[in-house]
Amino acid sequence: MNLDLSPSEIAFREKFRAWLRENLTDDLKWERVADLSHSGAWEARRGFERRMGADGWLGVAWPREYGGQGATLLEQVIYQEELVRSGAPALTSSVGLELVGPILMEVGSEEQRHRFLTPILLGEEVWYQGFSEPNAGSDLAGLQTRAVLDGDEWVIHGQKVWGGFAEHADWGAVLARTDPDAPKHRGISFMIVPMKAPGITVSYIKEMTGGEHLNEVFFDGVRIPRENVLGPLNQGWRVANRLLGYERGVMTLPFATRYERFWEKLRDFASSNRRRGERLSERPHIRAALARSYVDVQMMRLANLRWLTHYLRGTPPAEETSYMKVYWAQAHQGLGDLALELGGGAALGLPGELETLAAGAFSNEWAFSRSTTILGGTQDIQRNIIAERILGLPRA
Amino acid sequence: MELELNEEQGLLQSGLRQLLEGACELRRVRRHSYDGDGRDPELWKELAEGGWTASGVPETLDGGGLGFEEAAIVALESGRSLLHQPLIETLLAARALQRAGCKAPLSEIAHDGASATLAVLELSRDFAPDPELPRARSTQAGWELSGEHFGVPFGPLAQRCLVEAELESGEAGLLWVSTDQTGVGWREVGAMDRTVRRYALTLEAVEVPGECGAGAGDALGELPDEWRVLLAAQTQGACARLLEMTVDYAKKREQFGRPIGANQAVKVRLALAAAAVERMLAAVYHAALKIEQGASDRGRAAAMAKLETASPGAEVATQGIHVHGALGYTWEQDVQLFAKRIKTNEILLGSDADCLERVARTIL
Repeated sequence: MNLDLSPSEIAFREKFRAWLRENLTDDLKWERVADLSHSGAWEARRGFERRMGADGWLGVAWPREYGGQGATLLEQVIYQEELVRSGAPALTSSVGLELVGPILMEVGSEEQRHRFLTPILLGEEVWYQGFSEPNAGSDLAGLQTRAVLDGDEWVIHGQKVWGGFAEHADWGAVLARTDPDAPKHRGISFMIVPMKAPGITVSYIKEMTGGEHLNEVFFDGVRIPRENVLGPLNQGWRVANRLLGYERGVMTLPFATRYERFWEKLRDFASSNRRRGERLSERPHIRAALARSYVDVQMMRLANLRWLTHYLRGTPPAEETSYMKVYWAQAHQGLGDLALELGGGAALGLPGELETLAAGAFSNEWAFSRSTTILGGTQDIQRNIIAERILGLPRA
Repeated sequence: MELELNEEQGLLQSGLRQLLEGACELRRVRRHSYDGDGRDPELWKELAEGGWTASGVPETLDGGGLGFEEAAIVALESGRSLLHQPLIETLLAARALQRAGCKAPLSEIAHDGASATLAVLELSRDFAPDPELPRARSTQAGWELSGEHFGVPFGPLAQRCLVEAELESGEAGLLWVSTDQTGVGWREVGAMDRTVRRYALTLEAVEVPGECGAGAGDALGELPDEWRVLLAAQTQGACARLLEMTVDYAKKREQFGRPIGANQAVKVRLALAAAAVERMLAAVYHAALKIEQGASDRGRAAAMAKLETASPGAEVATQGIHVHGALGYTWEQDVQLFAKRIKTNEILLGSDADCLERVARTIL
């Protein structure tokens, strides 16, 4: 056993780190900008990503034949961790880079690859992920958005929810039902939708943090060319699904990096603030809570490193990724709770409200962390997966 | 980057598991620990012949020369099989003796298949309010040792005991005594986990030859952390086995015309238990690695491993009992045997509050 990086992995990290030092300006850092969702920061974010793309720092995981760096899995983890560590905002290109790109390479037509891959890699085009619907969340295959062939065009009607960047996106990766008579998993296709097409309406959903990042998107008779189907017709479920496991997989490691940084903030706060005449970091139950939270974040990382080892050995975990989601949520929600316990009454205001501690960062983390048991497959679904597919318990 | 057993370690693990599945089935554990006097010399002999009892002794002294990652593997399997013999104690004693440069006792472990237990202050403190270290007075032949220890696992069921003592110089010392020698007294105390009986130790002018002791404060220093990690590993092994037994039961036991494991309420219990057991293993590997490397943060890693297995382990055990229904509450059902070992390991050498503070001291 060892937890060391190889010389070439260290070199890769140093190279990217240096690039970020040179190119990431303070106005973009997630710790300084409370809300990056609106157009003010949008242009700056896009500019930053185009610079990344031009210098070859987007799609490092993509194979060289498609213009990527062919990075190993460990290098991909290093890349994501460095991004988080640097304070860079979440990439607006991530749906294109991590979802659409790999699918295009696997099942896209020659023409589709030619048209879409390079703009993703250069950070020139933004993709929106249109999967979830108001009535199809955990049961995604129950989705109701329909695409009906009319001559040489598909006509799409329906509603999507929980995706981001819809207002700015150039393209949408949209799951739609193309065979209403087939069993629910077999009548879905993966459609490529130009997001500026007539009939598309985008609105924002205000989250409990007060921020607005997530969209509702309405498709009202949107017409797209017949060839804008990615992968085989009616096989969209299979095409999309290989990526959902990936989302829960070792790529939760960068979240651990983000939580470590937030934990350090909490530790510093506890060391330099007093309540009821006593330094916070000297109160036994606060010390215990800080230690507990530290351990949860470290364990999220270590459990992930064990699965990562299995990946690297060519025996990738399958359903085991569900464990990671359980640890992830535990670590994040624990941090959110601890933040408010430390901050006390002065921290209860949300970002943008009147006087509030750390500009609302503590309350924001608490509120934001409430989403972690839900997104990327709810905690309940993960437990069912563990019980049925790992432990082999019978389905009800 | 590798946080997993390598191929050789995997073979080592399956070798020991195979041996214990044959030689240490639960019926045997019950027969010797609960119905008998706790002794099982045939099993110890088998372990010795397999090289396991001397595995912590360096190869240059005819031992197995295994490192601490391997010691953790032994502990995992000792938990899985609910081994009722002082194997991890003997491993730990060998490591401490090696650090202290005490060759004669190592030879007894390597050549005579001696079993050993440990009497250290850190564990005594879990059993007595304010224990003091026994004192070792220098004599012409070596030392004369007097005093008490508490909570010593296996006690006279082991052949030797490594005793932490205070030397006249004020230094900490490690002294190797025979558990049946003159002046050594054992009083058994209650222990719900009968597979690891507990004893108070009294030492009255016990003579220890010079080659069987050392002033070795540093040598002991490592031992509590190492013990914590091996207890954590043992708990992980016990939890993994208990969970397997429970999942099997949930698949077979039918109520309302279907297996109880088809109910989501039961699934959630078992899924959370499985998530805890998986996490424990990462914590154990991490701590074993840090100790093997002698890393500066090994103490924290050991506390984390203990913490990850302490109350989470007890919770897994509780779920195992619960899912077995009323049967799980009976003496006859084996889950309770594991639950008692797991609970005991939780309490000793630092339960949650203590380990949280150990972690806190390194980060605050």
